[in-house]
Amino acid sequence: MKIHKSYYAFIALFFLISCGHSLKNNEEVSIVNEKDQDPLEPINRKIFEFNRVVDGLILEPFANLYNMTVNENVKLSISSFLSNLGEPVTFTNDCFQGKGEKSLEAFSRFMINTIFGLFGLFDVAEKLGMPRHQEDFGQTLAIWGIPSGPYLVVPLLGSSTPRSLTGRLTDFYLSPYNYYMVHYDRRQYIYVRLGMDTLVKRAQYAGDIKNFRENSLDFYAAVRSFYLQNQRAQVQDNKVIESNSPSADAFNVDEDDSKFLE
Amino acid sequence: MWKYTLYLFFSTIISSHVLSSNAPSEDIQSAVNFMQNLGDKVSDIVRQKTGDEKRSSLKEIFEHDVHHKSIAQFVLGRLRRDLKAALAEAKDDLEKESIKKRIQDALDEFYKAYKKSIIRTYLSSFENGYKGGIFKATHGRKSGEDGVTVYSTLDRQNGTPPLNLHWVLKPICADDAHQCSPDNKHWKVVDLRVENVSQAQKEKDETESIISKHRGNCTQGVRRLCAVVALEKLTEEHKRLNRAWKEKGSISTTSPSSKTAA
Repeated sequence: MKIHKSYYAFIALFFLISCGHSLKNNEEVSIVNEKDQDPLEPINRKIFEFNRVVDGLILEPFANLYNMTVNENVKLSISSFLSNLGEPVTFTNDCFQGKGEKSLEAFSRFMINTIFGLFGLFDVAEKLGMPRHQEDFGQTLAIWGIPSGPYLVVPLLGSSTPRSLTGRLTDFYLSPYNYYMVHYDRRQYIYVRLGMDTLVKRAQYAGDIKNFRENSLDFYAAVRSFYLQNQRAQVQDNKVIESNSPSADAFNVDEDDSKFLE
Repeated sequence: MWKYTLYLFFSTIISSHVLSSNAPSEDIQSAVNFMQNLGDKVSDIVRQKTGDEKRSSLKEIFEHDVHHKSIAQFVLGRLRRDLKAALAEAKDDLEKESIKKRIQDALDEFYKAYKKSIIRTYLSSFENGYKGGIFKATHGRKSGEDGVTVYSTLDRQNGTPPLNLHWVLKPICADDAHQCSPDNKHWKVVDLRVENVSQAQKEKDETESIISKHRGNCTQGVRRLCAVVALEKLTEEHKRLNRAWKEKGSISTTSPSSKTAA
């Protein structure tokens, strides 16, 4: 009961913080200056450095080891199994967002992959023309008109915003897997899943992350830009993306700088 | 008489509409074809060539088909205006000329370093990250006044979902012609959106972060030259990254041959 009370208080607090930033963070604004969305930059940068150290010491070596030792097909099955566990959360959020067809697809995917794909080890549904999509409560809140709030870097969790953090916590409670494990006092399996999920994703994108880090002038600013742009795109289901990114007109060139300086 | 006038009126409207809508759709198709050809060329190089040969072939493509100067000017954003403002603060004509010269030199240096930076970023992504992938340019959409966004996917066949790559292209006229005709028009890439994350926007955010850091360190004595100093520092940072990458590249490209020799 105590946990529930503090959880709701936490959500309420983040709602308040989010609403406080509603004027600054209008999703309708075409191209948002990412720096304006980061009033906590000095603190965020410190936490970011801490996370980088943890990543370098623990996550990256394990991810590299995983990539080197595990067979590609096994990796695919592990990733598919973990994704299948998240399907009920996607289904629930599709319902919350009023996406009837998508929710039906998520539900069908879960049933097909659980029954015919050996608890999700094989993504049979994708072969039947139902590709995986992901929805979380953070996106649901965005659809409901809740602004994202300032950019945050959370210890161990990484980039976030109050809205997506609230979403993450809510998704935890929406997951039947977590509910089952808590109810039958098998909490350790929640941590196993969380750890595996983090490791698999880190391993999948190990090359991209390394590339990204090596080619960045300011890794923190690059990650922030990537996260915020990506979040805006996801909220719009990657559809109306033209309004979020610079159009070709933004690249009109002044061939002669001396004329510009006249 | 009225009948013929009306007939003429409507046929003029319809034909002008058809003619005007034909041109963009041809443009879109030519942009999609251009992108498919470019993707195929890159895939062939990545598959068939190795080491220095691969790197120099890719470099040639990115030098020719990416419009570096327009990306560089976009990335600089309001700093270019600040550079112009620095001129206005000059005490006399002599100082104005010397500041103008310094700005032009700084801009030229920046363009050179940034061109190398773009090639570095594209090379490191395509050289390793997109190995063995299947590239498909699917369709295009008008972007801004004369640009086109080409939508493509890259199936990396490593268990991760296909990457959505959107290319923003601008027509560049050969021979400095004011009006582009199909004969003298050449498409150039001005932005790449990986999973809806604009690389140019990301670079701009990084640049802003670096500029604000250096402007913050600018001393009172050279206040009006702060923008110029920030640009010079930014160029240095790009050069530093380019050097580090080149050194790393020369190590990685020489190591297989040294292994063979051994």
